[in-house]
Amino acid sequence: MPKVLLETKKLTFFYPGQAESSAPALKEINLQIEEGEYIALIGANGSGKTTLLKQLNALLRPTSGEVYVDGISTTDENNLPQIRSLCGMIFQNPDNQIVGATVEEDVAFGLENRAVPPPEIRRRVAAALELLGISHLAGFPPHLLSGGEKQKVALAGLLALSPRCLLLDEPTAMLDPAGQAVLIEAVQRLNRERGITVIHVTHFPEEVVLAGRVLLLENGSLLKEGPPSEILTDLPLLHRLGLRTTAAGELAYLLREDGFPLPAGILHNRELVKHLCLYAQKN
Amino acid sequence: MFICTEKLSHTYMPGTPFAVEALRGVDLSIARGSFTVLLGPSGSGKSTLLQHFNGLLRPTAGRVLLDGQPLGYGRRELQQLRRRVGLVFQEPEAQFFSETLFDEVAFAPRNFGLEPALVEERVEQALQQVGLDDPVLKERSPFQLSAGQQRLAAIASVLAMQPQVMIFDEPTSGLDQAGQQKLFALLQRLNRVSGLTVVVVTHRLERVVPLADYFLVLDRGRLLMEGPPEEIFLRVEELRRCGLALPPVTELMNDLVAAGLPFSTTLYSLEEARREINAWRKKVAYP
Repeated sequence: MPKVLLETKKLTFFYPGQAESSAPALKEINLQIEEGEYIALIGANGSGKTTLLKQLNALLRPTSGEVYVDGISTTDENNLPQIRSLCGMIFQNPDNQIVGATVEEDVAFGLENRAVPPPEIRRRVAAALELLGISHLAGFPPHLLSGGEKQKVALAGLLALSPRCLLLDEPTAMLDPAGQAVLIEAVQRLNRERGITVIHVTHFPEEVVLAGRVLLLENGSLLKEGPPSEILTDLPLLHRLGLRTTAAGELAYLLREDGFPLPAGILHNRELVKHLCLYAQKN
Repeated sequence: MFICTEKLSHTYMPGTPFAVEALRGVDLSIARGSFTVLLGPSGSGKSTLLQHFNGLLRPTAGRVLLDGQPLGYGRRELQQLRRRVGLVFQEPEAQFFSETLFDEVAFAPRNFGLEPALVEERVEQALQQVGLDDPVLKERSPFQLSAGQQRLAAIASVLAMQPQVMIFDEPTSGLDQAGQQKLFALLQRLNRVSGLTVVVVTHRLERVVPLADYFLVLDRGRLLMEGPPEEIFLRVEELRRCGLALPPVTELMNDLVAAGLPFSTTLYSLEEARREINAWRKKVAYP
């Protein structure tokens, strides 16, 4: 039985200075995430996705309720270093978290801060760069890299700390399609082969379909959760929230409305291709 | 042609080991009143090119022309240029510094020395164009606006200069679907209703292709393709080779054609695809 890595109990959060009479940024969220899961966290702008993500490595802490990371509560300030080495976070803009003058130095930053012995630092930096296929960039100044490369450097900085969970806040929003594909492939591999838990905030339906479970937020509340095949095919709900599913999903939904005999739950191009080919053969 | 470049080259840090040739002899032209999309993988020179359009960078070689006149790089000429060509950076709200939305949008007109009454008029107009003309919002700190509103406010602060050209670098990054839709609707209004020439860098093809008349594709500092969408998105292999994607609906139509179904691959929107497939269904079911 896999163990629960992240848990929230009645997590409620008001931003400092936010009036208690206004709606909270997060409202009574109860969540259990098992080690090794790949979670997509979706919702409109302002629904609380980033706020929730920041709660999961104690960058923010609950106004009321509790957050547990590997059984450790984020409420006690003494636990924070331990929590943050368990859960690393990647932001939308890699420039906001890259500090080193070279890629190697940047990836070593977290380890140096934890006073890891230098030979061990060198070994772990090399391993992290190797894992993401960017060893050849070790001596480069990060500002000369492309967005996708920079985002991998940020990810390598986390991996060097051997986290058990990656918190990704729209990591591909600033990348081109090739950079996006490369980063997502790397994250999926870390999840599949190393069992690293992933919580991935994204506006791209093509990324949401890759998750094992989708959490849908609305106005700070957890509105719905389930596999992509369930959440991403509830088009009336998604459209009401201003969200969208994949092109194949949207098109299949429109065609069904027009009376085309297609099954529900189509999300991938290959599924729509298959059903249209079947239709052509039958008639 | 309204904006032209002739053999435009740009090298960063020339003469050092880190010299990077960002643009290499680019010849292109953008028509007045057009909606032009600039595509290219990361590092292809898109942002460098945009910065040449309003004189933030100077060519290492070649030149840039606006309305037939080569750009000048003196102080006065640059000031004139920047009133005519507005540039909206990526995540422009990161540059907010005023205490109220009104002051934020009023910054450029005040800086250009306009009378207070005229400044107010410009601000009103710009806020109206982006749909933020609300007396309560106007007095609010720009930092208290929602993410989508902040983006619109940043655009209004450029529109307040009443430029003839608006240039956008990834205007929808970080916005949700509703925010993206609103933003592209604004770009369309600026182009069709206000008659501005719009140039935009974006990877959100599903939204932009139905609006655009012309595409420019950069690859490693060179102009790889230019033309209307129906020409560009037929060159599937070349696009893929430089790391670019097709609009998702076009990708889907290509997959259907690859499976032997008789569809057009020059479709970009869900509605077009829906019509095409329904028409096919009628033919198949009632031959």
